[in-house]
Amino acid sequence: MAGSPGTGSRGLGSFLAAAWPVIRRRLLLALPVLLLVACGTFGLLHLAPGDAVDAMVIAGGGGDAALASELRARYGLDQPLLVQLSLYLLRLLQFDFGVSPVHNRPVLALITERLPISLLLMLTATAFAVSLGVVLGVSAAAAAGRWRDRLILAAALVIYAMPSFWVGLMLILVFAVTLGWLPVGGFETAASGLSGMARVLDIARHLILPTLALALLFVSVHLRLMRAGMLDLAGADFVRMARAKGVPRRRVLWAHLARNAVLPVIAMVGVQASTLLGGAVVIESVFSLPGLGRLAYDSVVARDLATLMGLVVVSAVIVLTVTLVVDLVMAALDPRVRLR
Amino acid sequence: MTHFARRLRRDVPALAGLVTLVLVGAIALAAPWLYPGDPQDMVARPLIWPFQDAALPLGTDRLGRDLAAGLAHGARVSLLVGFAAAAAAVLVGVTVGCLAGWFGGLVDDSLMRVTDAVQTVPGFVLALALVAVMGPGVGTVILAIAVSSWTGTARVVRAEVSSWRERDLVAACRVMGMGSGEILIRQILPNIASPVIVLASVVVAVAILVESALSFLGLGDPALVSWGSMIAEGRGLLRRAWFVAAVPGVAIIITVVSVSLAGEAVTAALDPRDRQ
Repeated sequence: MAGSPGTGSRGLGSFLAAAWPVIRRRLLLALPVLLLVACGTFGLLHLAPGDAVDAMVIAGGGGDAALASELRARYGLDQPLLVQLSLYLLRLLQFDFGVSPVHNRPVLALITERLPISLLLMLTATAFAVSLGVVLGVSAAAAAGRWRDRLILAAALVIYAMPSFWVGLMLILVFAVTLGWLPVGGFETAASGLSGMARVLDIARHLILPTLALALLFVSVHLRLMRAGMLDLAGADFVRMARAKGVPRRRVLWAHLARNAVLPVIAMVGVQASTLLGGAVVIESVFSLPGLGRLAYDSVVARDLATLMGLVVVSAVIVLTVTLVVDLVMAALDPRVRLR
Repeated sequence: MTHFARRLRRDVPALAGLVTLVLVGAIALAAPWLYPGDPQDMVARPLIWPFQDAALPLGTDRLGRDLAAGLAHGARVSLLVGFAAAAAAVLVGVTVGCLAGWFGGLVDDSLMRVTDAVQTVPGFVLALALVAVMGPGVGTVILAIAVSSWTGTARVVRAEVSSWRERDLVAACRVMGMGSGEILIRQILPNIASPVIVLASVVVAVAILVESALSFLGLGDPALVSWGSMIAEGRGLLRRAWFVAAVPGVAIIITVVSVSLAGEAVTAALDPRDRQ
């Protein structure tokens, strides 16, 4: 059977069927969350002085009152608040986030153009943070109480206290300005004409420093969680059994302890998804990466509220999706999650 | 108090954190006397490196402003925003957590869905949205940070309160004729103080970092010097004078580390189970 084309998809299908309770619980939790987030953005839009039509009129260089009231009638802005809220929610259901008066384009298009860059950065940073966090956590736990452990814990404390944008600037100072090894910013070399593998490598070179700057905070979180998990499990029966059987120390550490202690670290990736996305916003503006963060920053400066509220809703959707994916990964790795 | 002192003498890092935090606080309070006048004023020739001039130990920036004076005045903003936002966040978090944990049922469900929603939107994106709606200023920054950081406290307090609600202590209080409010405030809250204080120190640390990020992006209070805005000032000078960006960053790191360590110290001191 192995290697036949159908195996993979049938395996996935049966896994999804087994994990259905996990998926259903997440989706049921996601609905009220999205509804509340949408109501929140609606409230914020109403707190702001002026409405969408004012923004359009100002962006258009002023206009007459008759046109403004006609626009208000067309967008339903002259209706009672509750009607406006339902209209707003209906539009959101159709993925209509309105039109940005600054860019004069649909907000959804602005967001989807920039989304891949932010997602890529979040992915590379998570991969780096989890791997380094796991290695350092195991290394600290293996030397618990000794100087190597203390050194790693002290480093975690300091790393946690470093503002990510400052880390980004210092990385630029060392690796881009002083050593000249890596580019200062941007997503790829402009007008380089690169394609295929060469372009991938060029993008990878541009992503190294932003990934490091974004990941460091999470390295600190993951390594502490990993270390604590390892120490918690150190006295468990299956570990003592392995030791008694004469399994080599290194193997007990990695194959028995680390494999179990990594589960809370992966769960933590889901918990930290929203912090990660928030961090990406700052890092993107340090490294001039044209992702969602840059869009958010430009929208604040231009007071482009339509785009900003679209971003709030989309980032909630991203965070919910990441949480669902992490749940599925947990279900795949740990059968206990599926049976719960 | 003697118990607290005894514990601290054993825990050197916590002691160091507490002392450093008090020192940073003292500098912040004394800034108007240590460095009278506006820290935004030019005092010397631009871009003097640190340790070159005894009167300007940390050097000057692109406009000849004293970096040490900027740090001292910036400490006021960082600590004010950090502690005010954390105080507001903890107050909201404890209130929401108590209500949800104590009453359960519909109150619990609806408060927890709101908590979920706030936690789902990245705090920094929410802060950007609030700054855009309300305009930049210290008040906006404090509100923006508080709005996005009460959720952790609410969850922990809810879990603690709902577990305490079922214990004999509460049943005994009821028999004595105490009302819900009195039981919550006088009996349960003192017992859950230590996880709340650990969380509060984390909230202060995060608030200081978020404030620095907002003012780094130029979205803090435009009238005030802050550590984040000083780093932004040094951003364009990395090639010629990297210390302008580096120095305020070190101030942030020292402050945040000492907040974390001091949080551990206060927790240890308050933990009644540890007292002999």
